Amino acid sequence: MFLKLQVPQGDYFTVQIKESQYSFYLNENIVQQIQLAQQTGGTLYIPPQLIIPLIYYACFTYHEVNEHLDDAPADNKYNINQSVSKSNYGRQKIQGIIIIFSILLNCLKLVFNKSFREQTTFQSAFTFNSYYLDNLSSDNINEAEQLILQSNIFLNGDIFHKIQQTFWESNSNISTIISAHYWLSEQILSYFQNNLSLIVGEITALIYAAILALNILPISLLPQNLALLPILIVAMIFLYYINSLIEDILRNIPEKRWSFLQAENLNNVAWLITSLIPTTLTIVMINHQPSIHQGLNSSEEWHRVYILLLLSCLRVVWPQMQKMIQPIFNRLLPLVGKGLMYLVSFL
Amino acid sequence: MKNEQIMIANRNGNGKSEDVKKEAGKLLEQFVAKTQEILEDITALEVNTMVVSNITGAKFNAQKSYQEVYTICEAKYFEENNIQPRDSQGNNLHKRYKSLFAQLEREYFSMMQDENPELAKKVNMPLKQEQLIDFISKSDYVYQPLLPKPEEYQALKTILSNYKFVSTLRKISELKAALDAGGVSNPKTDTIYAQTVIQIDGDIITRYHKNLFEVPEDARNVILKAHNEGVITGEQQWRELLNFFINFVRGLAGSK
Repeated sequence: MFLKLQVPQGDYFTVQIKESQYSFYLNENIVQQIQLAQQTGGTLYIPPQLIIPLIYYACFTYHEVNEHLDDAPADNKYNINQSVSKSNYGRQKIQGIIIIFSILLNCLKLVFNKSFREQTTFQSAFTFNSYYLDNLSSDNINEAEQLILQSNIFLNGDIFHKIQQTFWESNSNISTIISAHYWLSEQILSYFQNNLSLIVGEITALIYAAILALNILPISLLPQNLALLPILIVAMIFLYYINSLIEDILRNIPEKRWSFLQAENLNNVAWLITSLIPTTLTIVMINHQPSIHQGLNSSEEWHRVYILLLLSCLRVVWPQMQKMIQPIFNRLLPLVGKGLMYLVSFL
Repeated sequence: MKNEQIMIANRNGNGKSEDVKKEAGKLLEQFVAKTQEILEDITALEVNTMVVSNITGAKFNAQKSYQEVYTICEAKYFEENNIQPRDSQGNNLHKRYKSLFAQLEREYFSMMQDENPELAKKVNMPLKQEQLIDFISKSDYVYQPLLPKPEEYQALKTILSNYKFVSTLRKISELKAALDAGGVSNPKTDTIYAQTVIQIDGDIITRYHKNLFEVPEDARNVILKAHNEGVITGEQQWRELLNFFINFVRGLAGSK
């Protein structure tokens, strides 16, 4: 995954993320700007929608055991090569969808495929590489960036900092480059801590989208026909992204017009609008094609419509929910965890 | 609780629900134990600053590293790889390679004891430990490792699925990379110049390589500054990262 991140009040530079390996491509200009940012206390902006893929990469790693030991390990099953840039909004959304879709597929694979699960472990270390393009080296025809710094941060407390030898001997402003490297690693690592509430929000949003998606299809059909599962996932992701689109649109409406669109209500209103989609779909399906719901009486379907509307209204009417969801989530999480264990034991 | 479960099972005429409950409980315990394992190894923070001749950007390949470390115990390893018995400082290079291998072997012992205690009882552990010590100190000692051979793919898959083992393997491969390509040719490369260990009881130990004081002053200051900054940043980040994982996992698994 290639990212273009911006130094505070500075230029864009490229970051490549492969599992837990982060590679920074730096040059003299960027390093000076980073130095300025360090002195003024700026922080690096990383788009919040990346939090889920980054957490996923940070948690799991895949070790392949092959009969023939290749030099280039086949990690393309696992690696997602998408470039996410700040420029094009629509493209960004589509790439976000693709990333989340791949992650969900991987999660399913983890649950259902035993050999894949055996070869996946928790990530043991973060690696930060810095490549430096030296503008001053005129004798180097091939201006390939050189890997000059590498930090391996193990989760059990070992840290290895490596400096490349020729770079150490030759370059004059090496101290600033090393400082820049440390600052960037620090920014990335603190990104996880600072966005914990965001993670909680995103996961609850996904779960809510799943509940809504489940209500579109008659659930009694599901155990018999597991092929509906991908459709379910597609529906879930679709709803999740419709919701985020609506949120972004609502966020852009100036506050003076509709004063109730405060930060807390924004999420709820967006979900209300999003819930209208499965609701209308269900109503349409009931009226025009009753043959899909074989064996179900119409009162059940209307129950589902009522539930959908009730859920949406609750979210709007109950503005405290967003604030309260964090402690509730913290208390629910152990139950969810135990429930998942119970379910997994059935498989 | 167990008696109640048996009574319920008898009443239903079906022991399956009891098994399922036990299974689920066992799974949960395993999960929590694994996370405890991950977190219990954190008794010290160690920051190493080194200068290397070549940094590879490749992703860590567990299978390849395992093979490289395993072959150290083979008889012809040092001849085939042209490793001199002593490096330019007069340190015993062979011994250092062998002790890296011994570290991995010991990690395998403890893993076996945790996961497969019946198998561990069949092996004479104290004897193996003694043999390992002999292997490190004597030059022509042939050691029969307990570690599975790199060709035994099934066994390899099992041990590589153990988080702690892979973590240790990765650290050993880092240290081995520091030993390789260094040695006699150029004493300045691939050495760990500075190491700081911060222990949980408050002891801070800093070690410097003696070569550090023989390099020009500018270069030396670069290393010292980089190391100090690295320690400060590292300590802060390590602590915060740890808190993050602990809180997240604790929330998921419930407090025990």
